[in-house]
Amino acid sequence: MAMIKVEHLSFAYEDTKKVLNDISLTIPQGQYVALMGHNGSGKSTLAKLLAGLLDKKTGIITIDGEVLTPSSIKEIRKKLGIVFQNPDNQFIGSTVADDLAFGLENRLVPHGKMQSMIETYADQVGMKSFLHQEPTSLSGGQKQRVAIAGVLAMQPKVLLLDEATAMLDPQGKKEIRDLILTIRKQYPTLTILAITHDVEEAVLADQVMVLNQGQLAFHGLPDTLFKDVKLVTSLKLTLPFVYQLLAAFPKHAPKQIFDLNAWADALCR
Amino acid sequence: MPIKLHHVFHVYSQKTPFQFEALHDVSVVIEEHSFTAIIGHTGSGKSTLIQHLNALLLPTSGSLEVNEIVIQANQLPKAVKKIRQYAGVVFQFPEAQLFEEHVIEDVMFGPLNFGKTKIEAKQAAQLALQQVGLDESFYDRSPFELSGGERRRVAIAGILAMQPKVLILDEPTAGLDPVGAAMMMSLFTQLHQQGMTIIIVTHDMELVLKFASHVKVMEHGKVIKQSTPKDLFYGKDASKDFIKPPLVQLIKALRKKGKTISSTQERSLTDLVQGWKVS
Repeated sequence: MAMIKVEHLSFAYEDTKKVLNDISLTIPQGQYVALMGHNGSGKSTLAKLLAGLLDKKTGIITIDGEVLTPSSIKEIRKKLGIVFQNPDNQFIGSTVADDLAFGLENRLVPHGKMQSMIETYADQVGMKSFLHQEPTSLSGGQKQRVAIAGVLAMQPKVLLLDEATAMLDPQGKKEIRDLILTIRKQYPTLTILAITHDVEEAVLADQVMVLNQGQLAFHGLPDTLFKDVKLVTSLKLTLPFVYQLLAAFPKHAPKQIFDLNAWADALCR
Repeated sequence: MPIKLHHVFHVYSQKTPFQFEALHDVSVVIEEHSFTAIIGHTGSGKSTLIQHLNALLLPTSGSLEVNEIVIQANQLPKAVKKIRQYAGVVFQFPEAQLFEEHVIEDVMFGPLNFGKTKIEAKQAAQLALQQVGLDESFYDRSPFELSGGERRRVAIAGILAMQPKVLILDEPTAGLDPVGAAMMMSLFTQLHQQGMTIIIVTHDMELVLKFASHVKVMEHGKVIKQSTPKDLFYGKDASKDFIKPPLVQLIKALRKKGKTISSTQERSLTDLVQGWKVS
């Protein structure tokens, strides 16, 4: 079943040329998709349109079978959980527990249920032992994990990560990559759309979509994309490290291309 | 002259409930003409440290020496303009700080502020814009209609137009796409080769490995290590506390198997590949 369907979507900010030009795509339920593209390629605009944060110009957006219109927007937003780039702009509560309670209160969850829900979701992102800590004592990665927990507690159908790892240090980036994989196991029907510049993150996705000059320039397996060096260059992306190796030493490639020790073995043979 | 910090402490919101010690007894020397990387987890004090280097923040105690001018605790030095002209800081997401109507005026603002004439300021701005790769067609455009990467280059040009001897950059590649980030780094390499001291705060260990001559590692407001990329990633200062670039893992595995890897090869995959193909 298609969770997100976009048909002939075009968009322009006032007085500028088209930022998105006739985009059509389908994302099935339960898929993990990485959306990439260089600065100015239109990926943030696409994300804003999907979340109903921008008014579309032409085309149809359907989410979970429901067409996005001004009157359906409220219902559709309940199905979307969005995590943004800056960990400091999303922390509302004075402690981790407070922060998670905020969303639940807005959803009128009874107080008796709230405590156990807070613990459950904090546990899912590995933050249960931090419940009473203040945001200043948390790392960027930890704050983003809390943001993800808060969004999961809303039981969305789509998790939209808008460059959620861009401002994190390598440790934080790795924490979020690992967490996405955990979430996938726990919520097999959750659709994940991650906008990212991080090719190491894109490698983990089921599918990669790349925007270029307002058009969908690639939609397929990460492996297909990263094996096509010419395409990757023309889209102003870079190759993940192991694909750089693959491009440099095509004849030496080990069977397990993600295993660096296997690469060392193969190169020394 | 190197920049020297002597026992610098910095406490935010002193004597309030929010009191927070961001720097604790930092004594370091940043060598002239070096390409120094400052690394450490978020909140370790990196940004606080660099804001001391041109007296945007003053030590709560301790002192530092920049271009032979001494900055004492809690005392704005008389020669503060000289310091700010000597060492220019480009903050994180500097594109958010553009404000003029046209690109050229935005870049001219700094030199004008430092007492240059309009003609001198314009020449400096033109040169700076050329350095960051923006041609004449950008002069009369509004900064707000440019792409994120272009805006960031305008912001960096605004600092370069003041012709600093030291360029201090806080996460200059954050949020840029890989091609934009590579262009940015090649600009800093060029400036470094022309003799400028480059100080860069970054989380990107591949950049540190490839470009830095010196590395300062910060943790909880202290500089816990002063090292070089070689020692930090391969040698005596190697630590499990931070994630190493995959190149480092590969090279270690290759060395274990008895391969000889040169000191340039261990810093960039391109060099490794070239050397490999030659042999």
